[in-house]
Amino acid sequence: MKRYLKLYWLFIKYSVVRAMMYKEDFIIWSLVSIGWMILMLVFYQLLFLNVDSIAGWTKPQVLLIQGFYFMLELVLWGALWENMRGIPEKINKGTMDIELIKPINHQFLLSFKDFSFDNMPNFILGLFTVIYALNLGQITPTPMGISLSILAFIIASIYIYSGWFTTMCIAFWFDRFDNLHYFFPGLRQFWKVPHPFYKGVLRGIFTFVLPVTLVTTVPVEFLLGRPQWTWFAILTFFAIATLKFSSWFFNFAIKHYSSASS
Amino acid sequence: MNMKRIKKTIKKYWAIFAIGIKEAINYRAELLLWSTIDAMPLVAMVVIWLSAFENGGTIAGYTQSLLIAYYIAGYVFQDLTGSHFEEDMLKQIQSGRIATHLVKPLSLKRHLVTNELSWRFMSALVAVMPVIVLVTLFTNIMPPVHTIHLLILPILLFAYLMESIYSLMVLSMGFVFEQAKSLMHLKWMLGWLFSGSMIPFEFMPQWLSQIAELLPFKFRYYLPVQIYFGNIQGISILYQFGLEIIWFLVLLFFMRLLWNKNLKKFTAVGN
Repeated sequence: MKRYLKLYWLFIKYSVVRAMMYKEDFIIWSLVSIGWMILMLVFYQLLFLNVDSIAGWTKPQVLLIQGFYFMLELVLWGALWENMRGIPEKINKGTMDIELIKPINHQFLLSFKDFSFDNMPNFILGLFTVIYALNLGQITPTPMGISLSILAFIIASIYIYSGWFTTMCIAFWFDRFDNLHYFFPGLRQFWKVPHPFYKGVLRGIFTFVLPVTLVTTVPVEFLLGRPQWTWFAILTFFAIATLKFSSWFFNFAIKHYSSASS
Repeated sequence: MNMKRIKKTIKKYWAIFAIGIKEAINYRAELLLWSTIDAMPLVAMVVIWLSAFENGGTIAGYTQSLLIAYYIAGYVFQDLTGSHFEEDMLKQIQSGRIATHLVKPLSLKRHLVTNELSWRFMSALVAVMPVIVLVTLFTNIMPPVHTIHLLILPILLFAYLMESIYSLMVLSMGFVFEQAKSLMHLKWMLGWLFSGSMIPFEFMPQWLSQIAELLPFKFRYYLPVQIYFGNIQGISILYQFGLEIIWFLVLLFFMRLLWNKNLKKFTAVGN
């Protein structure tokens, strides 16, 4: 574990050096990220110009969801995107074996080698959105609420990683599936909406089959001082189970990999 | 241009269109996945609005069913008029591979627009699936289709051409600016805010809706939906179509200017 933490720290340091080498890119892509975030906030601003609350959720509460959504963008696009995108490419080009011969856990190497700092502003602005929403709603979370919220955020990140990595392993069976890496980030459309907004079949799916809507709602509910322990348990279960499954599925999928002289 | 030449041109671009269709069929799994990904924001939007209308009533003049119909119809129009070729072509500019296209005795711009049209055609076929599901779930919410709605088709055609022009503008910038992909996001952002796909103009403060009304992005989403709903009729449709043609010509002029200017600065070695 210590070895891998040390390695991850090295990967991040290398990514910092790279980001500093291409300062212009960093600035431009940071601006793009900020632009998208502002647009999201504009949407909710316009929505709440016309309604007071939605399904019992007030503007500050919905803004809290957006804050966590923005922070998770760092996990999606910063920590994972470059790595996930590279998996089908390596399979198709046959360069995967270069990774596979390295004396290190292959899943770890394929998942965390690259880190992009372009989305760092998302995390910072997400944090500001959370603070702004708490002030706006005059919500004072308890230290316990904050701690549990951070824990839920970490568990949510593990679930997102495991789900995405498992999806990417499907690429081992296809010659070309260029947009596979877009599928899991596409699901973020669902987690920017509070879980209680979903009703009927969708609620069932997003609770017991693919609990993606819980990744933002559970941390927010802790901050709001109304912990949803069942949802927290479901999210934790899925995070652990999907992480275990991703490891098994990767080892299974890799048996379908073949390449000649990369 | 004589008849023979016209025939030859049509044959040429029909061949490109047909190849595009075959490609789309070949990569059907990708096409299906794109359609699934594209449908996700629609589902999320429908969920938000269903919750917003939980207590019934109207918001900004829209009932719940009208607003759901707005997003479903808008989704179809948006899917028909999208243009996404710039992402792949920008990669080709960076690698220099675009040179192989530029030396061919065929207009690259027209090739891209025609090829994308075939993907739009196939994508629309696949996009029908989530629409059928939603229309089945929310029965009787879609207004009936009338002959007058045929007028939407030329508006959509020019909306598609304008989308292609934005893509070509981004591509033109790619010849001189390494991070031109960021401009692609700018195109999406402007489109999301000002086309009406984020929220109908009626929900916006007056100053913002006035800006959105002035800009050309509405021809892709808000305007065709309003024609479909019967809120814009008769001479107003022709007026809007006239405006769209003017926008199209202005954008075409600037795109050509940008393309010719920036292409001169482009260099590639090898390939």
